[in-house]
Amino acid sequence: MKVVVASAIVPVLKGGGRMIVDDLVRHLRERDHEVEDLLLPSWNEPDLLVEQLLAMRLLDLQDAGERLIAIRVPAHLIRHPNKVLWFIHHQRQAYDLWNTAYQGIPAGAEGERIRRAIFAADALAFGEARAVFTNSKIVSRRLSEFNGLGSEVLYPPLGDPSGYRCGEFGDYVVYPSRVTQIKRQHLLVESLKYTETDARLVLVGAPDVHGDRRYVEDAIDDHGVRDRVVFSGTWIAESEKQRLIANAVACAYIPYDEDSYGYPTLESFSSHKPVLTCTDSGGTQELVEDGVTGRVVPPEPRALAAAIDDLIRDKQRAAELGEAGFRRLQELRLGWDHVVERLLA
Amino acid sequence: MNVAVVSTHVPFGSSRVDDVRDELGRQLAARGHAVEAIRVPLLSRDARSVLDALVAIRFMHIRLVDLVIALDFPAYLIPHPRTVVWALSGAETVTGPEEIRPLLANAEATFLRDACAVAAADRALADRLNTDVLPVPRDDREWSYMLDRLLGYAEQRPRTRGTAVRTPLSQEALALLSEECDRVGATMVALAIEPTLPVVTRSVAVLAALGDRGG
Repeated sequence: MKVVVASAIVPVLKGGGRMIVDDLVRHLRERDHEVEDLLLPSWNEPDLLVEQLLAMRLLDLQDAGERLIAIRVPAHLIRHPNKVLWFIHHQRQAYDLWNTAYQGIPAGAEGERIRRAIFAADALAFGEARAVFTNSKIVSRRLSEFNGLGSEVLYPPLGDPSGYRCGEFGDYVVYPSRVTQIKRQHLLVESLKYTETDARLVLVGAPDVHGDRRYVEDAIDDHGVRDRVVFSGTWIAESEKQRLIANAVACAYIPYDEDSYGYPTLESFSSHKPVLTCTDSGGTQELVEDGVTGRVVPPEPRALAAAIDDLIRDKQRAAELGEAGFRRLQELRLGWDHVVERLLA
Repeated sequence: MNVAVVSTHVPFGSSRVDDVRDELGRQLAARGHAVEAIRVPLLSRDARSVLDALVAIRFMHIRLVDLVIALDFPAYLIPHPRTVVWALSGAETVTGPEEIRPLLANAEATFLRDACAVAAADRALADRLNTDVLPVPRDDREWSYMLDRLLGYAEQRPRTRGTAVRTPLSQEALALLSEECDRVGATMVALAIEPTLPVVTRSVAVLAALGDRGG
């Protein structure tokens, strides 16, 4: 089948939104589909949101291929007669982040107009789609709650899980993620101030913008923990990331209200390592259960510190949690055969 | 340096522009630059399709890149503070209604002035745009020279700018311009968007550039 996979991206920025596209394209091609990946630039600035909706709407792919799979908004507005959405998140500032510290869109009449435009554009795109899939229960729940729309959860598997393995249980926690404030690396940095063990933290990933690097660097200096944090602020080779996870005591993934369980959770469980997450981290809790497959604690430095100390002090327990995480992953039977079959049905 | 290489692309097709874009990306990456290829889908060079794509491109926003290298019309009209245009093909490749083509040519003339620098891959296009000629390289040595030129353009005061001539419009073209304004408006209505003030302002600016008033 001729398939177009379209998604909005921030150029040169890596992260889950890019990985899901790259992995899907590769797995479609491996199954002999002819695939075009269209990665179109976007930027999450309130003043520009509406015209970016218009830009996507003006792109006409009606005679291009037999199926359009649109992933990240606003690519869902591209015109195509056989469009399915693998919807990974809303324009969240207009929905669940409205009236939070992460709102972004200004309050007031102008902000309300932007929100209404986004709501209307989403309604149009959802109405045109022949099917709507999501990457998590939480995104499906938001679609139901905000848009009155039913959807099917289609969990994205890892692109290639074969490199993940379990090594030693070292005295460090690794946090593989884009560096940006909503991922809250600063909370983990601050937590080191309160640990009673000599736990270390390895932050793997690049900042979205320079200011994001500064906020982590400032946190490291402010809390006097530079000798216990490794933070290069760059992406590293997959093999190096896998090695770091393989020898960590756990992976941390503590975003604010994440859309899905997040690739770090899959990477951690694939390496038989527990996941440390927070009670308000959203989709992570679809897989991470406190005391079963990891630790789920309040988003407070002292609580994170206590959980890290527990894992470092009782590595046998950490290994049991990691093993349970690995089994949980097996039970889900995540696989690209199923994903491809559903998206092309 | 973070570099975006921008061009149009016919999905499931392959063109000279695709080949050059891919090779340019490889050459830049081999020299340590982070490269993003932005392929703006364009199914037809028919003037109406190009007009839609042109307006879409003016509403795309590229951030986090230090430099945009844009290769063909209308992709090379993408807005960015540091755009170097290396034109492999221009507005003259558009087919379809004669009345629309002056609109596109005027948009080209207007928005090329925003570019940091403009060069063209062949003499005819360079003459029309009044720019340097930078032919497509044939080997690695020529690519090294080419990259020096393209990156050099971005580092210095612009040596050349798009200076294509704007065209006075016929009554038919003005009518089509009005129709296009309505069409973009209709798209916004189809989106059920209540236009916000910045969007209205920029929409008017984009569309005005198609006419003969903005020169």
